Amino acid sequence: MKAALRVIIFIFFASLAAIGQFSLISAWPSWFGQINLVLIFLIFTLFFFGFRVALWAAFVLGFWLDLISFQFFGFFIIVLLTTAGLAQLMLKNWLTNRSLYSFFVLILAATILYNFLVACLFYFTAADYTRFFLVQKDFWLALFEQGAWSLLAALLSYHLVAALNRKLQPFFLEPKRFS
Amino acid sequence: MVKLKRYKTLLVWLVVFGLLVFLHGAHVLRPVENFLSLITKPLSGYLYSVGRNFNHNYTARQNQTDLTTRLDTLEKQVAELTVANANCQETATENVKLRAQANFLATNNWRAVTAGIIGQEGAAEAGEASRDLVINRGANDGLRIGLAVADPSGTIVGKITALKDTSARICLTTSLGCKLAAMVQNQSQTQGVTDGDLGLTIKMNYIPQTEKINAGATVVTSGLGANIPRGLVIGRVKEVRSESNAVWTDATIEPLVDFNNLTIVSIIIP
Repeated sequence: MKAALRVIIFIFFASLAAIGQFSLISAWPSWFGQINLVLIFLIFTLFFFGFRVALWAAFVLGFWLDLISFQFFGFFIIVLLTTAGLAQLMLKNWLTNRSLYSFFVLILAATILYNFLVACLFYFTAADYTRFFLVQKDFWLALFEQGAWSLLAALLSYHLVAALNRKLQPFFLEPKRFS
Repeated sequence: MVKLKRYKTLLVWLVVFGLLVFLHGAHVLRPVENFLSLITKPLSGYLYSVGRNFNHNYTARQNQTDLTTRLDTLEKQVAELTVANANCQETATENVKLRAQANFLATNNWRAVTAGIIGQEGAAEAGEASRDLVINRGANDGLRIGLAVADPSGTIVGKITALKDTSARICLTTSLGCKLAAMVQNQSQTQGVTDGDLGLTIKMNYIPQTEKINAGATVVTSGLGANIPRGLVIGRVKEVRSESNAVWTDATIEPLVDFNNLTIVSIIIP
């Protein structure tokens, strides 16, 4: 019963994040409109709840975005699952501790991955081959703004969870002192 | 066998994903998708209007510093417009009588479907230049691709570019790639094609060099584009650029719609 309730709450918040991203955040002015709530939710889930939960998050978030957007069905599911998978690889091989700086690196890398994947898929499906995204100033500006918001979200969520949970490492790993 | 077990999770996810895409493509999931869209549309509409209010307040504060300069310019314009308005009043009175007689919409068999905006969509690399709006009406409401979309005052704001059963995507007249067959309301009724420019203004291209267009002239739809009736206001000419050795002239058109405050639109079905 408790597990079922947790699943329902999880799906509810994931759905809210996807709909909020599409309707609320997209209506905000350009700087605020670059908050990527979906990506922040995904990486937060990956970092604090593990890969399996993150896969479910990617699936639910992607499903909602595919349902309400006008890209081909599966667009966001593919992007989010791939981002989750590559982020997990980074977490498993390089960012093995659970410190704030590893969360920063992870969310920043995931932001870059996500935007590249979306831009690539969009470029090949929109068939507008005259405007390659790598040479578009707006792409890099959006990437920078999203990265900044992701870092801020990482800082806030990490401290919030750290205050509630003692399992996390401090910001910098302190060397062991031998007496 | 060991390798298969290791990749079992991945295989399961791939099968589930493939099944979902197949069922979507075969329209088996359509009733579920339509039901889910139906229950989320009110929330999306509410969230979008909240977002737009925030946008409006934020933009208003940013613009406060420019207001003094703008005020002087506007006061001069008001004086000029007062004179023009007096002339327009006469024409408007006559127009009302003529419209009542002609029964404009009925004669042309038009009807309008009202829709609410529930979100925005576009590629990040396009920036604001190609942000499309998503509305809460779709094919089930009789819409089709290419129909004109107008704001409550009757000014065209864009056209439908993609359709689902219960929602549609519209490109704004200021978005790159949103082309309309247009006509300037001058003596020669100059024809051209409008396209969005950086998400801020509209450009009218392919105007013959021999045509005389003045700043301030009204630009309307010419009716030559499919599904879009003639006479819908697009904007006013702000600037005309011509080079002596070029075949065509182009003009910058200022839209009369404030896209930041758009929450309700009408789709005109001819």
